[in-house]
Amino acid sequence: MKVLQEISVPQESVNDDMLLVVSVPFANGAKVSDRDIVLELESSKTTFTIECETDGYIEYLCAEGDEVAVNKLIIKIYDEAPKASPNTMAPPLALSSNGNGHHKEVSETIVAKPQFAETMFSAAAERLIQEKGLSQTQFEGRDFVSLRDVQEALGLPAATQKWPKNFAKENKVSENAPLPTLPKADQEGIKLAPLSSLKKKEIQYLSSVQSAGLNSQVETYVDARGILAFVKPHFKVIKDSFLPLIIYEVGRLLKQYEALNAYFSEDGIAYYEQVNLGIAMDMGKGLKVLKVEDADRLSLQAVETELLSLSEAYLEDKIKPQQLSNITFTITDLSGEGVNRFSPLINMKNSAILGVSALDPQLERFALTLTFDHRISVGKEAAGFLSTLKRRLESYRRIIVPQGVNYYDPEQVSCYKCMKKLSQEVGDIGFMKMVSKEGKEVFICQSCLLGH
Amino acid sequence: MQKTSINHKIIKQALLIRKVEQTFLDLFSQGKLNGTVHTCVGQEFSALAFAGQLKRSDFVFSNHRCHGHYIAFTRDFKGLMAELMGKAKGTCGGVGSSQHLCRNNFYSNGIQGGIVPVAAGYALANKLQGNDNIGLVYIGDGTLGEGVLYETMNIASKWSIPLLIVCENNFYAQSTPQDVNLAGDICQRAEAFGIKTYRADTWDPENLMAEAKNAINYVRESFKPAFFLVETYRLNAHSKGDDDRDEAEVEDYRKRDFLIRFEKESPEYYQKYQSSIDQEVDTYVAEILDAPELQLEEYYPNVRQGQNTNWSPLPMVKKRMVERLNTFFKDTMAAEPNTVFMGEDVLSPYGGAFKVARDLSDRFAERVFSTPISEAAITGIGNGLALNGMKPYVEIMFGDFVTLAMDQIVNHASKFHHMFLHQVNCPVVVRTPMGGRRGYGPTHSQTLDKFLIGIDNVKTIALSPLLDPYPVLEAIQREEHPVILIENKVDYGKRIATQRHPNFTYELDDARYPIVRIKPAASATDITLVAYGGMAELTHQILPQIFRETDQKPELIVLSQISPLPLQALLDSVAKTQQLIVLEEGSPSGGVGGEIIASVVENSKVPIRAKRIAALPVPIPSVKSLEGEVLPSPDRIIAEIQQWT
Repeated sequence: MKVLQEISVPQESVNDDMLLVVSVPFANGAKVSDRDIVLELESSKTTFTIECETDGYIEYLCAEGDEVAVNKLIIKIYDEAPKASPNTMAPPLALSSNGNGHHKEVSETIVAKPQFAETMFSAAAERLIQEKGLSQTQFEGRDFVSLRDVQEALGLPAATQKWPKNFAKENKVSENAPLPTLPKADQEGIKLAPLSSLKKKEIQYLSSVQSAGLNSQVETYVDARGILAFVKPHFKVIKDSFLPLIIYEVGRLLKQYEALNAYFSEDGIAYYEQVNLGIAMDMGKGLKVLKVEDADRLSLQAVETELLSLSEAYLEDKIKPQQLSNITFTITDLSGEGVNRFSPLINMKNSAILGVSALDPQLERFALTLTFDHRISVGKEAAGFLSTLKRRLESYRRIIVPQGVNYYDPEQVSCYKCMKKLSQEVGDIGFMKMVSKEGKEVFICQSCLLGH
Repeated sequence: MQKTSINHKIIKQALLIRKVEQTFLDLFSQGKLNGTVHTCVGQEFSALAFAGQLKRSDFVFSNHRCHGHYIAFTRDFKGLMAELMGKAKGTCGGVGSSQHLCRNNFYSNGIQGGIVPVAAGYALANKLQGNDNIGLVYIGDGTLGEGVLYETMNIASKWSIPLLIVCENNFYAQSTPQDVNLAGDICQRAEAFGIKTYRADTWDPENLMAEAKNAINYVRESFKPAFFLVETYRLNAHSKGDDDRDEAEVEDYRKRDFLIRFEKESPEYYQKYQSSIDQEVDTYVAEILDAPELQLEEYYPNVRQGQNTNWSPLPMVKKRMVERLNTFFKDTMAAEPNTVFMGEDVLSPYGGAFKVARDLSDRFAERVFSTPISEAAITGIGNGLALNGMKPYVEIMFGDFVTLAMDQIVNHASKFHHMFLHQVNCPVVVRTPMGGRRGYGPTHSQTLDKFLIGIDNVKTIALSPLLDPYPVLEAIQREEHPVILIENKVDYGKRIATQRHPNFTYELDDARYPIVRIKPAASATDITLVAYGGMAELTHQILPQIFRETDQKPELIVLSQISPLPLQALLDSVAKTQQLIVLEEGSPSGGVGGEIIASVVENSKVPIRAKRIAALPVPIPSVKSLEGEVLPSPDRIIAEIQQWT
């Protein structure tokens, strides 16, 4: 019996002279092939695997859970099967995990080969394997391979977590979470005030995304001339604000810009299925972000009703916890504060925030600023979102007659060619007014105008 | 008035009963009784003639108007008074009060008719135990409207059960005169079943006592039932303030009342007895007026069970379910002579609709009872057998018929232990097969488990072919309280845990009624599936397809105890998956799945998404294709999981 290969504990980092044996995929004496993963080790920084470089029969000089010293000989590979030793133990069926989530994730990707002769693939996993030109044999030895497993193997962000694990934990921000390192307060010349717990929480929420430092901004102006004039008759109470219209349009637009309705998680990018807009409010009782749920499905009138009930709840201190949670995108409106522009900060478990600045009375325009998480989205996408939003908002002014007193009733106005009513128009342009061959003033829809 | 030769000792007892009843009415008026009372003033000699002439080892079952019967049989007027006054030292600690009494072979319950089969079962146990104790059950003429009475008379006659049925006919069912509701003749009803009948009245106590003695002797000597019609009249209202009877009629009966006559005829004796009784009763009432009431922990200790779960590999048994059940009964009936098996069509060679009872009646003829089609009565007889030291297994041929037995389960078996303040146990076992997929149609295919869970003090166990039923039944055999055992028609022929999928591990925990867990051998689980009964094996069969089509690595938890629910294994699983799907063969609304989900959600420390997959809420069609669509099918299960995840 000849030794073909000896494997010792490698030095992975200068800090570690002891490593933990996380898993031992083969039984002692089992046949192994060149490039088989024969051991998984954990250092203080990472978990890594060791492959053998020859076909042969394996003998372990360590066991799962052992702490082994760097350079210690831990595996021998022989040219023939060793005689059965009474101490030879089959590895346990389920690989161990020491309660460390990261460690567990890794150990699941490396599975004892001999136990599962036939790996079961989900249909979704098979499709991705085929699409990426992988081979199923790459997953040999595992019990089950799901889409997520294939994505992990490809180094792709893991599948969207529809129900984030440790959901409750993530949502709960510890009161005692440490703040970033800060300068000591001077001994004199200052008045020291403790941070309120509300402010602490706010800092923690905002730090969650901002601390990565990978946020970027795009900004645009919205030509506001005539918008309110159109909007006013549609609302009962909020007649002087662009906010309901912005909520209405942003809600719909976010369905097309998933990356802005998401968050960056430990497991990858988590895309929300719902669109729940958070509206930052501060009406004298502290900054609160209140939720407009399923904003993409609300009518303009429903948006107004929702806003009114939220502000009532805010003012009467009757906000329920669920009105503050599961917010997928935030809008902060400082238009009442007379600012030309400002830099909003992205909220925890969001990837973007939209800031609404005040109307410039001379130029009749206001600024929209979008801060977005560059780990998830890119400038071009954010710009696309913002410019579409701008166009949509401005489209409301175009349906106004230049003389500016009467409006066309969308139920009455119809395209003279296809007879489509203005109210049925799904595009954001509206109808053109033109002169027909007969010399009459008529309306034409975009499609007919372009000859489609 | 002709001189009566009736013993003055009996008269004193009658006066005591009347005094106690009058005192209750006074206490009620003073607001010192909680609830209501039904007094027997005028009917005292019926109590003394029957209950008063039994041996102490005999037994009495009674109804809502039971105070006189209780005093006549137990001589314990103090326990009765303390009971109605809500005192801890009352015969049932104040739990039962007027209608629910228990002491030394005396039982009463407030459900009309329901006690009759229980009394028959109690009497049958005496017969099986080979003693010469007999018993009697008091009913009123109002009870003649209850069907279970006739089911029981039929069985008692057929099986020669030594039970005396005493019908106290006071001519009113609460406020309704008898001629409004009663057709035909009372005694002829019993005679039609071949039961010997007797008649007497309380206005001639001497004759009543003598005839009662004759009837008691007849039952004891012949081991046969008898029916005794006692004509009597209550001089007070049914309960309180509900008396619309003609005053002249009442006055007429007052004149006939023996004790009132005795007062006039022998005033010296009457005064002497009455004052001594008055003093005894009044003194006792004064003495216990401020006595303590029962504490909740004495009534309902609410012991929490340990929650450690140890898992071990799931054993495989290469036998069919029905063979294992049959073997259990053969072994147990041989080893434990108190075990009784009853059900419809269970005699050899037929051996029951699903053959669980095969050959049992050949081996244990005296303890295997093939019953008439009388689900209420046989369950009640099971209750009576269980109260009297036997271990009865009552088979309801199809689960659909269990609704006919519900009064016995809910108002009797479930309640006895607590309402009689822990003095008795009722370890009855009601077995029944549920489930469809055999084309039996709307009334022979249902899964009615939803009606069989959440019954106080009753355990509900559901078998599945993933778990050997033998040790489950061994555990049930040791239970001290009622158990409902749900079997499944299509599972009877299956072998136990023999078919297994690769890449899953099969385990069971160490609970008395184990949970089976089937999960990916190495991977973490994405979704928790919970099934039991008929859905367990079906779900197990399609685990690989569920994974393949839904991309969710499933863990299947199969419950055997579905009420009360064991939660720890479920909580451990959903803590990892946060996704819970319950599969049940019954319809979803108000069902087992809803209860499982509610229990898990209220105890879970992580948020959970949950879903029920169940039958559609319509009767199960016979036609195969439709039946397959109404019940949860593999295709529908997979599609529903796909849509939901």
